[in-house]
Amino acid sequence: MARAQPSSPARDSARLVPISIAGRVPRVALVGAPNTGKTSLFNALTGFRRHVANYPGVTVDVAEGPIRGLPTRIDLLDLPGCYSLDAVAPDERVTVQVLQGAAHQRGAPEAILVVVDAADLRRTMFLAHQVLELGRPTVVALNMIDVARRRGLAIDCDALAKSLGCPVVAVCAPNPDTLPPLRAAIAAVLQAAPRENAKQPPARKESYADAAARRFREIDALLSGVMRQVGKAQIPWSERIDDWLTHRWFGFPLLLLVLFTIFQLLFVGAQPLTDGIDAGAQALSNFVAARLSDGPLRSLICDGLIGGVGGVVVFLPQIMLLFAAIAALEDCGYLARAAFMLDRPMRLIGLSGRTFIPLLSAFACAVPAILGARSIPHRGERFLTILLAPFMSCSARLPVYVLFIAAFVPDQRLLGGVVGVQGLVMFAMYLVGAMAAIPLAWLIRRTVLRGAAAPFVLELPSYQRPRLRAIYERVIAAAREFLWRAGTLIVIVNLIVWALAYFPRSTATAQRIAAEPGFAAESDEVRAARLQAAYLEDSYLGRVGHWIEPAVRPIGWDWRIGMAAAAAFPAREVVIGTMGTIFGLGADQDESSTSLRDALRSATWPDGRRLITLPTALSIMVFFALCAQCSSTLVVMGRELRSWRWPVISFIGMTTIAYLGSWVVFNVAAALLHA
Amino acid sequence: MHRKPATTPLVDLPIGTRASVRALRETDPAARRLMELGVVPGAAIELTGYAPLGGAIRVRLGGHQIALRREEAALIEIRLGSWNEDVADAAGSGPTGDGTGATVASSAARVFAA
Repeated sequence: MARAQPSSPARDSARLVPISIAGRVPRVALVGAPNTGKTSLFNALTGFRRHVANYPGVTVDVAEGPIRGLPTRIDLLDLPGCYSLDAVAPDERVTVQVLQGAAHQRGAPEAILVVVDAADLRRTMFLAHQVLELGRPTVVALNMIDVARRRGLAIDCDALAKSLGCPVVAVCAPNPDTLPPLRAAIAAVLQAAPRENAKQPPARKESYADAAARRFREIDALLSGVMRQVGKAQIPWSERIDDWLTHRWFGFPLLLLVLFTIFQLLFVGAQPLTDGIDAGAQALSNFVAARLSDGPLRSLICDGLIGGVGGVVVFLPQIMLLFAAIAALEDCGYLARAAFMLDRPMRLIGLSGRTFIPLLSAFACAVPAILGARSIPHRGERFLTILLAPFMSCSARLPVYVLFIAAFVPDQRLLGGVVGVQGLVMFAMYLVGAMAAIPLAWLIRRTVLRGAAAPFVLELPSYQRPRLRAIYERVIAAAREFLWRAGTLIVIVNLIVWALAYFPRSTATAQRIAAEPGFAAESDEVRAARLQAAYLEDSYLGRVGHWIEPAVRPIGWDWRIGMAAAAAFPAREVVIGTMGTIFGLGADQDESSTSLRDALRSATWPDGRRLITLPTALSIMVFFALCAQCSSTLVVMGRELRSWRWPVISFIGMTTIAYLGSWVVFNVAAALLHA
Repeated sequence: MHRKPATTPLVDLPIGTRASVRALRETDPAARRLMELGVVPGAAIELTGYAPLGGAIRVRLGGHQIALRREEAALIEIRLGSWNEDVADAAGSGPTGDGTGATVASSAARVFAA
């Protein structure tokens, strides 16, 4: 991003002498209150080269990266945002731990870079004021100086530096021209002799409120003569928008409209890309099939690999779109407003509005949602958020919905073509998990996690244009994770399922089928199809499947669906691949257009009835909506709650709820359709 | 504008009410977070809206907005009619500005000293 500018970083730092503290790379801790642009500044300084720092003692990953454009290496540590050093939430405690030198063999970082928001200086100085009392080499970065200027504020950096007793550099993180002075200042404080506990704060006996009030008084004194209102200050446009977006009457319908639009968009927006990938996988499969003779190898490649992995990769566009939408909503500041509006309903189930943010991100993936719950100070609320996150319909469930909705829900439009039935069913699937979570949360809050309601105090950051770079990063990370899983876990599970479904393929089966009356009279195509079906029935998978079939019959499934679902317990999106493998093997190999959708549509019970009708499709979708089919989520849950008991309870509970839910939906839908 | 300063908890007030924080019931665990967010004695505070389904309010404190529940708002004791434009401006985004370039932070400091 940094281009050759009049003041290039190299020239600015040329006058620096190399720094080395006891022969080691110095580390600078980056701290700041939430919404001060701390992470943007980290990315601007390090050029997105981050990796997880080695902090074995802490529960939150601390990112670390070398600062660009300096002659010697200085590492910047991105610590979790916090409002003060009197931390309450688990992630804030990490910041305090690292600053105090705990959790790392080398002790505290050599210097501290505090970010403050120039446009909201008085409040964000609170943390800086505390950090300066630590008496360690410190630089203050006055971020968002451009916003402050637009609000008519003039800030005298030199005067502020003098009154704070440390370098103060005005920056605007997205603008690389503003960064060289900050880099130089960081290098300079590291070179200066460490001022050990330069001004130890006198020990005072005062209440927290008195201390806070004193701090703000001191901040006001520091800022006097430093900050001036030169232009006309206006009410930020962000607040005027809020009058509409969180309006007493329009706010809530608008929120529902935003969420509903995202789900409609997932279906419509990603369709061309999805179709393209689907066609590509099909073409590849045909290409390979035409060049290999019939046998295990062709089946392995076409059914096991291309059919399985291709079936999963097809959903990449939709998953990327969902992550992009949630990242954009969060980045622009709307999610905080949604939390504000939803506090009342969330409260009815013993949660507060702030849990809405991790829970909404669980719609993309439960793992980051569970990790995100670290910012919740209230312990009971944090527990409950973690337990409920897997109920939110994550992006790995999306393929299941898309597949079954596209295949079995009629493509009709309502209300003059604006609302599609398929989109509506999709929206309903997303609600299923949330609806199941409501009574459950209520129950847990009244039994296991009793206690006073969590308080709700949340900053509403100013609206900003979503930063494309931040969204891009999130989407790419999600896509990479998804493809990695498709390439590893899903391939392995698929290959096992393929092998179990393909072998033993004994000649006894072929002879038995050939001996059936009327077989010889059938056309070649029908004979081939019946033979494939018989091979599958007699496979190892088929034998186990028949054994479990009684368990899944009540929810409208046959053994093939049951086995595909059972194979999906390590990761739910596996089911697409296993269904592709199982139903592909059962189908005629020579027919070229056997997409999974068609294979599922044409699958039948042994008596010739259609296997999957609308009630069965709904039953499958509800099962996947409610079941805990994700090993990563359970592992992360156990790690975060520091107990294996919760994931076990969660797994058993969710599987039971999923089964009951499917049973109800299947029977109700079947009764309605036949009525 | 209110002539007589009246002290009241920050609940059941009309949107647009401006006041200054007089005290905070600090025994409550939420009080600490409120203070970190700038709700300290002397701060200028403005009620900017109610949540659509009730329960929560949003308030402006100088340059930023926060959302809080009725229960947490009840912890905040305010003094009506003591809204000081300078206090609001000092925090970065007051509704008015006279353009004279007066040092607003110093007048804010005077308010606190008073």
